[in-house]
Amino acid sequence: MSRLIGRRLALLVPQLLLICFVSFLLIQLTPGSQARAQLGSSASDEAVAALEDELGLNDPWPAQFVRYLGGLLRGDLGTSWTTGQPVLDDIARRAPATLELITVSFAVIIVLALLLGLAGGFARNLLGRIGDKISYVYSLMAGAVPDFWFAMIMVFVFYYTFPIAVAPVGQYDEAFGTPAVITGSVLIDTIVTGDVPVLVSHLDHLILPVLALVFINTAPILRMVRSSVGEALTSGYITLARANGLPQRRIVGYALRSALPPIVTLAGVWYTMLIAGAVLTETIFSWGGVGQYAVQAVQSADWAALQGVVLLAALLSLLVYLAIDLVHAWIDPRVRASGGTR
Amino acid sequence: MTNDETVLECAELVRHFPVKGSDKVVQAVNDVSLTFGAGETVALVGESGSGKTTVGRMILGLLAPTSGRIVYQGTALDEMDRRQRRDFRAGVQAVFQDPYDSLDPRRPVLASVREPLRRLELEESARDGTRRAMAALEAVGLAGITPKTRPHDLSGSACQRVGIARALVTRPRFIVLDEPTSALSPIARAEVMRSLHDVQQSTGVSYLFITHDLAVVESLAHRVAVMYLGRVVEAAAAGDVFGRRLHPYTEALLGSVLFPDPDRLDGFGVLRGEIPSPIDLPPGCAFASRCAIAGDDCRTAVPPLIDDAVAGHHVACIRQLSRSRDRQLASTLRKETP
Amino acid sequence: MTTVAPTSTPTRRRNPQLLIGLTAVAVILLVALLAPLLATHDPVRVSGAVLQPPSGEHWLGTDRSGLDIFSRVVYAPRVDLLLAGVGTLLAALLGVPLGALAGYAPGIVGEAISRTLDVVQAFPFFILAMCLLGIVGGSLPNIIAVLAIVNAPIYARLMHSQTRTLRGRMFIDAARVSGCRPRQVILGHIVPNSLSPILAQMSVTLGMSIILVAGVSFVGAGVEPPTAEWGVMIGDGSGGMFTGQWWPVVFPGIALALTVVAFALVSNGITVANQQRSRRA
Ligand SMILES: Nc1ncnc2c1ncn2[C@@H]1O[C@H](COP(=O)(O)OP(=O)(O)OP(=O)(O)O)[C@@H](O)[C@H]1O
Ligand code: SF4
Ligand SMILES: [Mg+2]
Repeated sequence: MSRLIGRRLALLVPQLLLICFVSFLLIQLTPGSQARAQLGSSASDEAVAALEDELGLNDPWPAQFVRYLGGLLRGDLGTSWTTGQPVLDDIARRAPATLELITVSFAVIIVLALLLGLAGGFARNLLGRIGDKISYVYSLMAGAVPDFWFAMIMVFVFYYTFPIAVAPVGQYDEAFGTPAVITGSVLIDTIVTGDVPVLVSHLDHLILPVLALVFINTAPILRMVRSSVGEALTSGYITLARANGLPQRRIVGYALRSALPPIVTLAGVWYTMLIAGAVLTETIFSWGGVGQYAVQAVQSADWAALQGVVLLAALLSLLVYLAIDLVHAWIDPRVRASGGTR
Repeated sequence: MTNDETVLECAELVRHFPVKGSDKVVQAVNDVSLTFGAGETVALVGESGSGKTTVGRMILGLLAPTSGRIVYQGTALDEMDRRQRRDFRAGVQAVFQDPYDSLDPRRPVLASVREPLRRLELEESARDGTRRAMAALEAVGLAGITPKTRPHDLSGSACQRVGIARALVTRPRFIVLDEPTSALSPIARAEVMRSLHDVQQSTGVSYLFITHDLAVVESLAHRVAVMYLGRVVEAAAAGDVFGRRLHPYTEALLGSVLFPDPDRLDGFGVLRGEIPSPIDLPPGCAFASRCAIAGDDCRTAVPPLIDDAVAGHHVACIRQLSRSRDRQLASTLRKETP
Repeated sequence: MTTVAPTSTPTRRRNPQLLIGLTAVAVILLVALLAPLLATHDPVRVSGAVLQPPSGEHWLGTDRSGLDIFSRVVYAPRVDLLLAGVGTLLAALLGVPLGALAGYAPGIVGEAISRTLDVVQAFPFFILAMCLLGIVGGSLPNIIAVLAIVNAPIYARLMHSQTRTLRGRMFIDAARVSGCRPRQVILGHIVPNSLSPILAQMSVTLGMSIILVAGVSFVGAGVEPPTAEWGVMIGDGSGGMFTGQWWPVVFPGIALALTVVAFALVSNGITVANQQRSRRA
């Protein structure tokens, strides 16, 4: 087990390097000279050349890569030219909002998928078959509908047509004041400080984007839970447990436990998918998180900002993958014994 | 048909497989040496997991030995130049255990039979290749194969004969047969055996016949090698192995034949005791844990495969050697192995 | 001489998903092909007042520039299918050999390739595509290239596991004994036997690519307006969803979703057909 963890962690180093390298390549792709971009188009060619030399842009690429890595280690992701702030600061300020949105959606998705999937897995009667049909159609639809389109439909229906939702702009209505910043997540901060008015307003704003993400992203996990629970239930030892008259609750527990590894993997992968899924959802709801920041960066050609988002998103995914592997090792005795599946 | 010319020879073959997530190895094959004369059939028998398939795969060049040599017509496999390599590929062929699995399901069987000719550039034209493939199919009694026939259109025995046709189409000198009849019904088995026998009669090909089926061994084999946990423990002319059974393992193996489970040698219950894991082989004779006449001296060093007084009868057991006529050799041996 | 008797009679199995999916795809292709005949207006020329709701003149209304939405919806698959189709094809052409190599090459090479793929896949798909297109610009060739790059790892993965599985099959040993070199084993035996999962995946990728193109176009990093493309149309009309003009967004979205569903059905159908076939064999 510790051997597995050691091996997995050792793997992380080259993977991190590779991620940094890909992100480094992205800057190399950017059009025009970075020096020119810094000095503005009115600068003389000599000044540009001098700055290029100073920045080491004429060095061989390995030297430039090492310098880039050095910058990363000091937390230097460059400066956003739209905000004028260091990119890392920009992202750090916006990350809690994004993580909150993703995590809340993720939690709802997992709970829904487990409940519906288990119910579907256990329902062996007509109801179960109808449920299967519904979940099939739902999966087809959820997989085919673009998330940003669906989010806009929600806005149209719940804000314009039946005005039950608040104006889908921002994380809360500033008329209720501004919450104290502790973690940066409005949800946590308002709960901690007991700022009920802002909390309520925040929940009002949270519900539509979460629903949009949940509708689109529950389907694959639901299907996975459904099929692994189905498989587990038909396996020999569950039949045995049934025959022995074990209480239903215990049987559910057993089935869940053996269905768990694939569910954990998919759920983990899906968390990383939500990072990308949140980009457009945030934009539509003006959420003010990292996703919206990235879209603004694309629209204003703010490459340093964009590259920073890409790099950190990849790092986050990699950490989630690492977590999946470790959780796997922990819940699956076979992996524990053999020293790793992947 | 048998004569003294050696077609293929393997010497001191060893193959260890690394065990995932540990530094240990599976000792699948340890120090196996075999010689095949022209037109000769050598049967390789032994329980499941004794390393028979692994030996076959190494001889076919499908698996690199950890150490040891395979020599085909005077040249070692790893020293062959391009042309020799091609001659080896054409000259050493194989028939595999599972008739369906050994044919590419996506291809017409005719294409599979023609493939060696095509890949080894032994056909003059596509038409020539197809003609010879058809001829090979007819030679194993398969008429009515069309260019569209696919494996799932055929019965198991027909598939296996397609496999034999593929192995024959290059006119090889040597064929590895890895349990070619085990997946077949008794009637189909007889048909396939008949084909193999006829082919050998007419072409003088040599066979390495890996099998669990002792009836097959008796009817087809000239020589027999018995494997146990990666080593050859007894090797001799077929009659001698059946008649003398020097090694206790062979004894147990053949003892069951009087009341045979027709399919599997390892289906009988004569042998008691734990089979050691090929990952942690004990020092000394690997059979000691199940051997009725084992003693402490068996557990110190691996008994070498030694020529018994009868020419060509090799056995790897210190006691049986001493029971045989050459007591002296045995006692020196025991002194040498403290 | 024994004659060859078929052991099973291949029967036509029911596979409604494949049937419906293929029909729908055919219809969509036909629409794309016949767009000039079907369209009632020029898709990129102002043809009426802005933001007209659906009417006899403009079946699906007009957008905020006064372009006819029906005509644009009908023209859009030309761009979307072209991009997604070529991008998917290139992704497969890139990923399949890479994955086969990773699965077939022993030890360290295969390990290195699959670990590299892990890393490439750690980059969130959409963000990477958006970033790349933002940097290089959303010309059609660039979009195709980006689709190929972000999707190729999926094929490499798929092919890697296919190769690993097939490598243990006896017919691969048999092919090697027949004199196939590694390249011939891969191209002649492993790829043909992986065709059906590859095709199933391609059908999925096609749909996902359409969504991806629409997404990057929505934020302005993809296809450039006023090209008739579903994502562009949705992006252009997005403001209306807050003020009640739903038609510029709703119709292209429905067309897009139906297209993706069609490809998803084809994909499911291929998988089912393959299962039916291997059960028969
Ligand atoms: N590719 C491999 N990797 C790891 N271990 C292997 C591999 N191939 C074979 N082995 C191991 O080597 C040993 C010998 O296997 P082999 O297949 O040669 O036996 P066999 O005598 O042919 O058995 P059977 O009668 O079941 O076919 C077994 O313990 C097997 O698990
Ligand atoms: S060497 Fe010893 S243990 Fe091995 S077979 Fe002979 S008597 Fe039995
Ligand atoms: Mg075997």
